Amino acid sequence: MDLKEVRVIKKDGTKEEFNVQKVVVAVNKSAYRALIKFTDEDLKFICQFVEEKVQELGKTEIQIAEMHNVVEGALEKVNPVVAKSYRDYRNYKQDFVHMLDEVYRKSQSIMYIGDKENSNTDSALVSTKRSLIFNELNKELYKKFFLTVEELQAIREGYIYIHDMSARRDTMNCCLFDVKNVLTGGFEMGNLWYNEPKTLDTAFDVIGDIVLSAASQQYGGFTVPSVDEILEPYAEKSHKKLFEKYRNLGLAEEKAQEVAWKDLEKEMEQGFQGWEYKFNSVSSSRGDYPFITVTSGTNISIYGKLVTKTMLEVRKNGQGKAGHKKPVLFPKIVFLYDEKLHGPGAPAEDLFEAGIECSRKTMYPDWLSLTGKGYVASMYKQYGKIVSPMGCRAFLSPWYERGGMNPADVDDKPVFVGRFNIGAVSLHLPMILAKSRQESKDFFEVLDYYLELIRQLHIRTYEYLGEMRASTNPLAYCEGGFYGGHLKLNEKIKPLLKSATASFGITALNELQQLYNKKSLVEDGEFALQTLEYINKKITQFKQEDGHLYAIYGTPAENLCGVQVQQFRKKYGIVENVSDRAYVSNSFHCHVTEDITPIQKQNLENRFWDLSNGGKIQYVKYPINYNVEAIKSLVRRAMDMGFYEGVNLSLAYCDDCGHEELAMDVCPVCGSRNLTKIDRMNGYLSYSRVKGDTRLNDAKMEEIAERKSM
Amino acid sequence: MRYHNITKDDMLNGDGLRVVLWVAGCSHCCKECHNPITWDPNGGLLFDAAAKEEIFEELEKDYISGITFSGGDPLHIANAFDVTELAKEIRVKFPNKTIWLYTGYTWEEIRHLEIVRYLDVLVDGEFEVAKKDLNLHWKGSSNQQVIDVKRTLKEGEVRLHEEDCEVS
Repeated sequence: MDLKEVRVIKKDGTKEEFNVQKVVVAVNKSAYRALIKFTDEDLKFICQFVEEKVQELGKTEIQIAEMHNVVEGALEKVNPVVAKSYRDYRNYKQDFVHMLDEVYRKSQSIMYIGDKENSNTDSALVSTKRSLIFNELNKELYKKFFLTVEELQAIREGYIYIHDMSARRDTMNCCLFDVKNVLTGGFEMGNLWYNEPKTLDTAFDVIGDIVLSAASQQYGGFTVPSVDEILEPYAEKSHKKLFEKYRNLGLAEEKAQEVAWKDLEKEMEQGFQGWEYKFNSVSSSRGDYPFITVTSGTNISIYGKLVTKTMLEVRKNGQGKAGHKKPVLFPKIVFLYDEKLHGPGAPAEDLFEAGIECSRKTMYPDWLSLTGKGYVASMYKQYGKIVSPMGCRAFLSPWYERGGMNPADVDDKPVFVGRFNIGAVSLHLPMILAKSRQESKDFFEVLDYYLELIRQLHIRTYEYLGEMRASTNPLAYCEGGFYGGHLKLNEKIKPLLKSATASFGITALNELQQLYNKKSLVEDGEFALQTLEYINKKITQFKQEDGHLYAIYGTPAENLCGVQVQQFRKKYGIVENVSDRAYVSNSFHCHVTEDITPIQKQNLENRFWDLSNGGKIQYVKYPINYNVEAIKSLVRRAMDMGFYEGVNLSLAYCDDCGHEELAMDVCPVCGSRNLTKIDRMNGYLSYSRVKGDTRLNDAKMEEIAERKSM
Repeated sequence: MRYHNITKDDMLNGDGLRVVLWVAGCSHCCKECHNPITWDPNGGLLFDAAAKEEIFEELEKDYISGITFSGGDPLHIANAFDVTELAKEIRVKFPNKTIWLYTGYTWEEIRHLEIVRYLDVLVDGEFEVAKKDLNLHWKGSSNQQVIDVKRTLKEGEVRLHEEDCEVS
């Protein structure tokens, strides 16, 4: 039979001449979606296979569905992954109707009811609603085109949780952005050339723009590490300029020095105020306020100290009308603590004091130990490198300049600034234990299955993101914001992904232990510890085998803390102390209702510290804010232990009369319930109430209400 | 002397993290006392060598700022002698730790006692519910005083621990 006589009947009934080139176009599209490129030989095989089958059928008219089966048959032989991609696309009409219906349903609920999944979004805003609706679509697309059937099954049932699904198709996760590298010598942003700032004032402005612009191109935390180092040269330039100005006006040297310094202090203060306004009111194109963190404290030159002190002072004093000032939430401030600089009697103890004064009023700064025990401090002690935290608690693993994952030799040095993470996937440990029991399998065997699932997902993510072009985020990939970020706009970002980390999240260790032997992390914890040790061992093995920087992350479950309970109940019902509350415990933290002292909490959580190097924080509750010595004792102790430590206060402000008092629900001065309350979510602070109304999900609110030792 | 409890890492009864000894016996009988169970001098447990050891063990820790005597009233007739002896011993053994004491008596009533020599801070006076204010530092009602004992003794008139401690 002559193939030229064969007609294909399409879905709408029209007929078309059979043409094998059309098959080539279709399979190439499917291959592209699966990140695969067929060789000429592959294509030749497919064509041959299809033509033979059509011949075999011996019909002059073939239904399109039949034609698809033939092509799928060919693809199964050449590459099953592409076959899947082809099949998925084939079903697209039906699936897309379903997907759009789902998105429409969610969008209606977002428009009229609101969304409380992320406390950094004000979901009432038009821009936020818009992006939330887009996120719904993007999430569906991710599920449809990125995930495998096994992964879908696992997330649907809740054994694993893929964080930030709505953004994973677009970009990477959190980073330590190299602002200094971008600024030095000038740079290009939005097709405009920016000269390197010549004054502190301009530096604040330009950095603010860089941060907002770059942070919009990613999801998760955006950290500006060691801001005291970044601002120092511009402070010095401004100072010189001011001094010369006053000298030229005829002031004596000493007087000129004095007024120039005063002006510089003012400039610094205004700069930080500008950032606070900008970072808390200008929402990013993502629709939320980008999670910006700045770290500071180790530069103790006069300018460095001025940076840290002013930043803390501005935060402590708050923003707002006189008599109604409240602390802002962004940027998050992290104090970089070096015992030799900030310890008792050390040259920058005044910075420590200023930090404590700020913490006791606003909770921030959180405190990062550079000189205690453990991983972060070891990098500082051995190499002088600071591993600043990203977002609420993430830390990068070391990547060495020459050796990569391992140091090439004793002189090799690790790099942290300019690197990033590509996303986190969390294990639902209590559910995995429940499953192993129900199926009479070994817990670790079931755990292995999910670890492997996450591993494969991470591998595909590295590959997928590597295909992106530098033009997706020019400040990062072309202007030096990221390590190795001097690519041309149309180059692929693949080379930068080598030093990126990918996280395996763990959470609800307390509930895992409870399910295991009806004991809490306070009463026991051995099984939780054993599990975490096992995961560490596996991840180390994966790292070596795959050459990817995997890390273990103590998941800060905000919405997830409630979602996991729902998932658990659906499969395994209500189990006492496991799924009987509205929320599960965050990562390795003791249950919030535990009646334990801060010292006990520090000791208990210390057991898991070195086993969660990809993300962790420790914090204790202070029922009063005037016991400064207690705050100092506990922060110093935390610094000795090598912690990343938070001070927890339940801040509350009356929006009517301006009265502030810890933990109030009704203002005792004027009787108003119109309060703004700030509580710690986990690694970051959040409004638990704004003008009397909550912004958090119900599960989190219930957790906050029950807090005793958090 | 008898006592009800020894609490550890306490941050509500004086500067820093403290060990607090809650003694038995109090005759002030303040209205709305938050701890009436401690009024009976025969209540609680006997303060024995083990209890003392428990306190000393806490004071050895570098993050513990000191001890607070509360109750009950540490200066109740059933307690005053033993508390004084204990404070004296702590002063010698742990010269860097501070000693706080809560009593229902006023400074004027007890300033002549031997124990004041060993104290850093004394919170004096009965709790008066009409003068209760939750925003006060370290004390329940505004008639009470948080006294810096060392400065008070040196300067001959009452000096407060935090001059501006009335408002948070």
